[in-house]
Amino acid sequence: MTRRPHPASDLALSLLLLVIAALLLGGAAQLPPPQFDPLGSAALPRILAGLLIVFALITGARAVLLWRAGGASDALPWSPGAAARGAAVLGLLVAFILVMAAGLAPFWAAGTVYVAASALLIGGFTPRRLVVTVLGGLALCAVLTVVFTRFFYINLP
Amino acid sequence: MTELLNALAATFSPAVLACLVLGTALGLVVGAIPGLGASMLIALTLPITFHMANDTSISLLVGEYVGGISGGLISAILLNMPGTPASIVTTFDGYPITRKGGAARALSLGIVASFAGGLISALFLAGLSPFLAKFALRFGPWEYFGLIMMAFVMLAALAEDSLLRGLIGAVLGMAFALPGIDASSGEARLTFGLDPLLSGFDVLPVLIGIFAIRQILSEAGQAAPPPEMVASKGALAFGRRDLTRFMPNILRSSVIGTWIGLLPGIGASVASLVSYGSARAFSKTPERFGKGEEHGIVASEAANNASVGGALIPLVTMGIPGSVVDAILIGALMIHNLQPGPLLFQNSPEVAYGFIAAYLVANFIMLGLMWMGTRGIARLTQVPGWALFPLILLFCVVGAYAINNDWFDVWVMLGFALLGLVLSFARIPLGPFVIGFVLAPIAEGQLRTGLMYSDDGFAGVLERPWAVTFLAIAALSVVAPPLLRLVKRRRSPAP
Repeated sequence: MTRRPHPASDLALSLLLLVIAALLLGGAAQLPPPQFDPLGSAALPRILAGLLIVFALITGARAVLLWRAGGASDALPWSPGAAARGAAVLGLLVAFILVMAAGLAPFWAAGTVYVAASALLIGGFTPRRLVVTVLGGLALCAVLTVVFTRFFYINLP
Repeated sequence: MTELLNALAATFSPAVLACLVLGTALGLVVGAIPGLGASMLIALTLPITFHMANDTSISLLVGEYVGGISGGLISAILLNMPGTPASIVTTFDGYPITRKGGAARALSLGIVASFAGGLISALFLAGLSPFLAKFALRFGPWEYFGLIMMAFVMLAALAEDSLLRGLIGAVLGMAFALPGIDASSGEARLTFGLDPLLSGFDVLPVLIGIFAIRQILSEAGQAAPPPEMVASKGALAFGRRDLTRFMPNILRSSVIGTWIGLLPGIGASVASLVSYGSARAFSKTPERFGKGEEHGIVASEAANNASVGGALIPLVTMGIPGSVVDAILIGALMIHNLQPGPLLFQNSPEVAYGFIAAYLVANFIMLGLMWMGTRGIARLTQVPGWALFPLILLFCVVGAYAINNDWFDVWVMLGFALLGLVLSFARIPLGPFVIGFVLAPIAEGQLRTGLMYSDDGFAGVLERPWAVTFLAIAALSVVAPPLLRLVKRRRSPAP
């Protein structure tokens, strides 16, 4: 069974499509006219932007009509709890990448802390889980370091 | 025939065989875990194959594909929860049989049917591909453009919610493939002054972001406990009498699965549904379907595995993906500077036949691994999310970074994961998006080449009957559904 999209999410989608279409049109405007081939490099961005604008208008109009007709359900397409937990997991991932990209910690240390922190965030804290995830994270980081440096000749930071 | 035998012999070299076994085993485990799937596993593995030889990387990926589709039956039968969408139909009869204490019987039927379906479609793949490839050699740029447009529209038209949402997915995918140096003019296009964008968005971080990170973030948010499993007691068994009894169903379902797999975008889940319907139509006891009918499991599993072989036919012969996983496989070949299509049989026959041989052998490996290790794989489905998800996310980061030793790829991966989440919330199917992303550069290149060769501009397409046919099918796929709905509405009496 498929879930009917919430009109708010359709309006947001419509806006997103318009933004992407504007970016495509803006980028295409900076391209020179075609010299060798009849189509040129700006044609496809313009065609796709046109299609996205049409889709955005249809999606937006449908959402507004549904809202006005009172067909909108109060439920959002995701529960606030699930969204918050997903956002927290994403936040930890971004923090891990920032630490690694800035070279603030070696891979084995940052990776182990990240694995343990994410696992506790998703599953909840228990002392046993902390020990298991720290050991598991350490083992995985060691294996990945060995595989990438010895076999693929890539130095993980 | 000689090339196929050579490829089969090469498949039995220790490295290739080891990759096939590893890929199939990984696919079975991931396929059995509800929420994860073959597309995520293959996207995750791509960075590793980047550093491998053609034969071993193809074996690993094909093994994962076969295992990923087959593994879904374990959770479908034991947990009433399909590991993959392809196994949804298997739950209809698999779980009722399990509840009656027949888990081993249901698993035996599912495993043998999966193997038979895969084997029969492998025969079609081996028999048809060389001829189709020879035929496709006659195709020029207009035919390829028409073929890709047909694939786009059919995929979008068969998207889960609506044609409009499928088309939005496909067009967005194409739009994100545009940035980079334009191949024809050499100009930077849509890079907005960002130097890392000069080479465009690399296919690997895009796929890892869309399929792996997005999926894990979405699953981690829900944090559902592993479902309760019904224990499988007794030994797996499939006798000669069973073979005689189920052979017509296996043959019919495998042929249905193969032909449905051939069509772009329809996929394994529809294949299993159609063959289930046909098995019920042929049955003397149709009322038993859905309550634990053994023929239901056989029809579903034979068809969904056969659809994999069917989908590989247009991929290998014409470079057209039959499913999302096939689009990822095209990306994998492109990473190795291989362009799937008819020239693959001419320029790199070892790769083209290697695909076929790997698919054939992977089905035997799948049979062996599932027959011996189903209980072990079933136990792995009980691994909780908190233990699994952080490891996968860490692996994604390392994999994306290792592509070019560049953190830009990691941010691209994260950006596409967020885009994937937004699109999922808005019910935009990700299949057309990925296929649009992978095929847009090819479609644009073919269109521009066609126009350069043509004296009559776009009218040049009219001189190419196959191109006109493909474009007409594409146009019909867009126009026919709303027209049919309109006709149906007018015929139905007013309330």
